[in-house]
Amino acid sequence: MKKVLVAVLMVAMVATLFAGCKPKAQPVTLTIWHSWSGSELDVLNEAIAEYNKQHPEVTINQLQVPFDQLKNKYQTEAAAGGGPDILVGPADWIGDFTKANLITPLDSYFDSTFLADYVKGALDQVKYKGKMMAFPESTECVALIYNKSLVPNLPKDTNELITLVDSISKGDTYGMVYNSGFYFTAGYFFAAGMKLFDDNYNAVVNQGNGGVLALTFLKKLASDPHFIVANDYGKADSMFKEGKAAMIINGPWAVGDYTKALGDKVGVAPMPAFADTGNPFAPFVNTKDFFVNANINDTQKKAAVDFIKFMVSKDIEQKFFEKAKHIPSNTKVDTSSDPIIAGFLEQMKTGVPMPIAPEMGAVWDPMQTAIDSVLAGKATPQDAINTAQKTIQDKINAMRGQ
Amino acid sequence: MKRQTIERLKHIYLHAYIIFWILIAIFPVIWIVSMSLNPVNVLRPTTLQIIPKNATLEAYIKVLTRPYEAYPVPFVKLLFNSLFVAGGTALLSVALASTAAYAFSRFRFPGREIGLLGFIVTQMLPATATLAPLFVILTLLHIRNTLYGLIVAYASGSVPFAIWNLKGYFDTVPKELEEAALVDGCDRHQAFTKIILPLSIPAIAVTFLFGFMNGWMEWMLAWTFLTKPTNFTLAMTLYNMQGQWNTPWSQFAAFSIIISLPVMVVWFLLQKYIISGLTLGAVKG
Repeated sequence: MKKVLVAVLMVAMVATLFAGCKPKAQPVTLTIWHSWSGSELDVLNEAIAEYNKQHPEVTINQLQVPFDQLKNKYQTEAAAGGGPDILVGPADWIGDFTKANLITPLDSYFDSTFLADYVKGALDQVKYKGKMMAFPESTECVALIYNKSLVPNLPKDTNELITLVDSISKGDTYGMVYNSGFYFTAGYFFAAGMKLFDDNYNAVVNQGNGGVLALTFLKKLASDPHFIVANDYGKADSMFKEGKAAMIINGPWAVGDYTKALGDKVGVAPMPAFADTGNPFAPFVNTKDFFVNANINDTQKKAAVDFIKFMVSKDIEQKFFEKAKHIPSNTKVDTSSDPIIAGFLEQMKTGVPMPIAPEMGAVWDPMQTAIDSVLAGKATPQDAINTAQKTIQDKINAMRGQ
Repeated sequence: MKRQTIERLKHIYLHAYIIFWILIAIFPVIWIVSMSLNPVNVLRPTTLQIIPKNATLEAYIKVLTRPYEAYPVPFVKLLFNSLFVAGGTALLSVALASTAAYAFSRFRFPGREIGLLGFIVTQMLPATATLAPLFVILTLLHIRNTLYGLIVAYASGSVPFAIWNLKGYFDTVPKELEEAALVDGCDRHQAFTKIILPLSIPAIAVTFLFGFMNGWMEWMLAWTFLTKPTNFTLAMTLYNMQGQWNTPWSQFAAFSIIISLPVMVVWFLLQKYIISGLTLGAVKG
């Protein structure tokens, strides 16, 4: 024991001696958990290597976790006092994480000159109860992706869409595959005038006739033999890749694979406006963000934020944009070279930020049930939306312990 | 009609019937093979060609050279981890369950009924419900981030079923056999290892196989507990290929085929024990 103490003291003394002549940064190890794959992962690795050149004292360990295990894994580990320093995930995790005190508010680390370079909508989305709980890396929303060799002209509204689809469908080639998942159809619900919540985050989906209009519209598409409307991502995806569907609704993450399959025939444009109200398609806009673990000490936090600042710098976001088709949160990134991303950016202008309050978790299943039951002919749009309203509100009440 | 013709028709009918069901059974496998050869990542091709256009083995090469995208863990290491976890789970389950089942089958002791019922209750809990307690226990034991921890976690899930399974089998082994052994000078321990265990090889083989499959296929607990890529298993990396939206289906299919091969080998090795007769004609006459 004594020997150990002496040794420690010796080392400490020698260390102070050297510390005097040359200020050397303390070695830091940062761990980052993410679910990036393919070209996104390549960019991350490049960025880490580059960061290491500038900061040789920092070691960064990255761990790739399957997306649908990542939230659960982080929650379990962080709740037990552990977890990585940095987590990459979508903004809709903020509500749950903040409630459980698993992430650090970041307001004090970023000043207004730094924030001025970032898309305002993206920064708004990561704010929860007035505090910035994460930092946005990229934004995403769904838009119309079309096969240029099959679509002669782009439809302006949904009436034109239906006429167009009827004219270009032949044989086993369909005019459009429409994923009826609520994430993909929400844009028309909002265009029809539906609102999810009031100011107190109580459900209001059956107020006004927005929900009914949108459900009636989806039913109309589904009964048209030239549309395939199904909550089936794989089927829609395969058909578009094989050139058997002229149009599809999907997000930027899919574009890489589509261009691999179809080459430069792939085009992206905003979805046609909702003819009944004349409103533009208003998809959910979501951000991918960096979270900082609440369990780590201040030095670690500072190091983590420094790395995040590097990750969202113009240079790195430019790489994410060019190689992985991420839509940057940094406005300094030059996106003019890419007509595909331009299509998504155009669509984003009419989008709505996806709510990050935990109440949003109550919405997905009931809305999906409403869509599915109307498309299956099991309920009228009015009944379906009333049921959805009741289920959502019940879930919200249960969440609040009422 | 001659009897021969009738017989022949019967045969044709039976064969047609069997072939029909075999085709239905192997169709998904053919689909997966076809997917693994496809150069374009298509989950549901609209036409079925067993050998797709521009078929390639690229997916196999890719998953064998770099199964876990984010970190260069060699395939052999993952294979070893998987075999270690699956084999460990199977052995631990058999070791714990065979002794416990023997006690439940042969002895009457206080708490026997409750114990047996308790096992059913743990079986009814979904795996996710046991996740948090397992996490805490394994963290306290300092084995959470290791393959040993995983074995303990998996065994805790497979032991209850194994006990019921083996107890049911031990019940069918005549008591007289043991009594004879005891009269001939065996003690309880010898009666168990020399008489009961050898007679129960079919049931033990099934228990082993269940434990092995459990450890081989599971990914959810593994993804929650493990953070070191060098500890990852094949099932984990297979699951990891599934992206939030995009999945490289060709590689996914190729890897599924590769992963299923060791299970098939284990199955073939155990098959003769599973089929071989029950009490081997022990109490004749």
